[in-house]
Amino acid sequence: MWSAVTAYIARRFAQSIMILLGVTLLAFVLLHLIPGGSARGILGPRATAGQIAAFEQANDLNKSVFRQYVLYLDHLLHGNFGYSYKLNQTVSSVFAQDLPKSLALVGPPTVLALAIGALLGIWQSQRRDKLDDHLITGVGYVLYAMPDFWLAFILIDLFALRLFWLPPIAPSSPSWTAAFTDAKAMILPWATLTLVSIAVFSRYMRSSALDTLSRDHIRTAQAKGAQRGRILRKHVIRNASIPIITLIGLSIPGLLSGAILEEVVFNYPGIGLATYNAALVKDYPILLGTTLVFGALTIAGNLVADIAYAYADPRVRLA
Amino acid sequence: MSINSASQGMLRPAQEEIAEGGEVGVGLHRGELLHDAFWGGRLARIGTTIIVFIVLFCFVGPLLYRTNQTQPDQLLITDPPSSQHLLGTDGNGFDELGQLMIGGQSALEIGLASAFLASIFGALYGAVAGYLGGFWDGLLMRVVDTMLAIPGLLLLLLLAVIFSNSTPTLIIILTLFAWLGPARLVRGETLTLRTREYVQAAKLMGASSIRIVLRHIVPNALGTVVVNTTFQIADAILALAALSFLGLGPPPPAANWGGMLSDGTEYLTAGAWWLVYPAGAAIVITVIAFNFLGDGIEEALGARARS
Repeated sequence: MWSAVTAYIARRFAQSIMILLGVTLLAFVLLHLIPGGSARGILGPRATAGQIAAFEQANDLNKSVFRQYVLYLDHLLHGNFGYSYKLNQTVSSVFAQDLPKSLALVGPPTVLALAIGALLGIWQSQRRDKLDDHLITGVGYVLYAMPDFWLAFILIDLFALRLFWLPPIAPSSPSWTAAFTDAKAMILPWATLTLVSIAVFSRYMRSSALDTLSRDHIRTAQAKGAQRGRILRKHVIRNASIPIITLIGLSIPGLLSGAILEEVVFNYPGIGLATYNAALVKDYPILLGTTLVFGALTIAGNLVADIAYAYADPRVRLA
Repeated sequence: MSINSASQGMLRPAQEEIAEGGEVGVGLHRGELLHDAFWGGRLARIGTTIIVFIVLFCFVGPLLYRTNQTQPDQLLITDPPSSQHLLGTDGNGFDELGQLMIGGQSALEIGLASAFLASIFGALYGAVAGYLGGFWDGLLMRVVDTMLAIPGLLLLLLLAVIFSNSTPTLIIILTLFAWLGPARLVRGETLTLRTREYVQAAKLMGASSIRIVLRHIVPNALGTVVVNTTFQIADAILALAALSFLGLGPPPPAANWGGMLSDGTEYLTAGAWWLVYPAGAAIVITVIAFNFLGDGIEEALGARARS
């Protein structure tokens, strides 16, 4: 049994490495798709032919494409993600500075949304097809169909501009701890991300709990006279929480996308805002660095989810 | 949502006939099928009604509700709703309700176009990968996995920055981001379809791989694809709104709902609610309508198309 788990993990690990390589290849290809060439893209439209030639010489852009890709991988392995000429900073230093701030933005809402979403989902499974079940599903539908940034503006309009309860922008301090020391300013960004995620989580949890409730062992427990609370605690929640493990891993790309929009709305200086600013001035090294980092985070999330799932549910390993 | 299975029961036998018959007979059940898909269940009926209303609003509306949408008017900037301008005016002095109609046109056109392109390309890609199996399947699907590893909005952002943002390129960019879902779905479906007797029989009779994929596999995965397409339209409208908010949507002067929202937020502190709420509501209603329609068709066809 242990060897089966190990073999499964090894296989998934190898797959993840392949996909990570794929992401580097994609970033590399995109860098070469830049109209006018990557040297022109990085140095800007006013660079002279001489400057471009010198830049290509210095950065091995005149070597063969294959050789360039190998060199690119070599740089990445040494932690060299490139240099942003627009910010006059290495890409890795931008990440070291901004990534913790983005984690402080998406971390608390994820935990909160999971807890609330799971509770709502289980509640709905107990109240199936009753008014409150339909109501929660309906609200979830609307939240799901809402552009994230629009929800943020509604909350800003209501709580900041009309009621004056909360500040309309997030703390802009360069330190990530500001998110917690100035938590009042983080309530709106956190609330927006939480609401958006709850819609997905509760929907998932509801169907998972309903699925579990229809299983034979639940009927057996009911036939033996077990009480509803006991069945919920011992059987339903335990089984239904397996998909939650997967959900955490799979929700990473959505959270990162959400982070870009929220950081722009609330002017929160994390990696999302850095990416947005990079997009505005066509700062390709930052954009491709974000692609790699977000890609790596997503792949790691999927891997961790699969491994956790394999431990929780032995049937997965046989597939 | 509630289960409305009246249409499902009616359709089941037809579905099985298709599965046994192999090549899909066209024409016989088409009318019935269309009726069930768009009007069978309660959800489908609500979705279809709203979509028809939105299409009329966007494309016929401007003919009935005539407004100036070409000459900016300095005297009419951000006027609140009045009897002359039912939803007020925006930062250029354009009538907001009129903008909403025009903005919906591009949202619907771009959303529909990219969803259809993505479904066609994704379905063929997935069917080929699933049918070939082995090494090619592995290679083709790793490409999909790689693109899925990059958060959607970031991928959109990258593509929009690298390619200039005209309407045709926006459609292609949204397609490049959206074909991954259908590719995965159809590939999964193909893995079971290719073991069916009629595919084996076709192979024995000497049918080429192209013929088997086009005549036997894709048509039988069509239900899944159609349902998924409606969800894709909704997703594309949302993605377009996000891109427009980030300033990478259709270039001005073309109005679109996401861009209107983004412009409107600048006037939020001035209390111009009419520039923020109607455009957002239009997006939400449209997205919900297409999701309802998808759920409705899914019920009618008994297909499973949500990943």
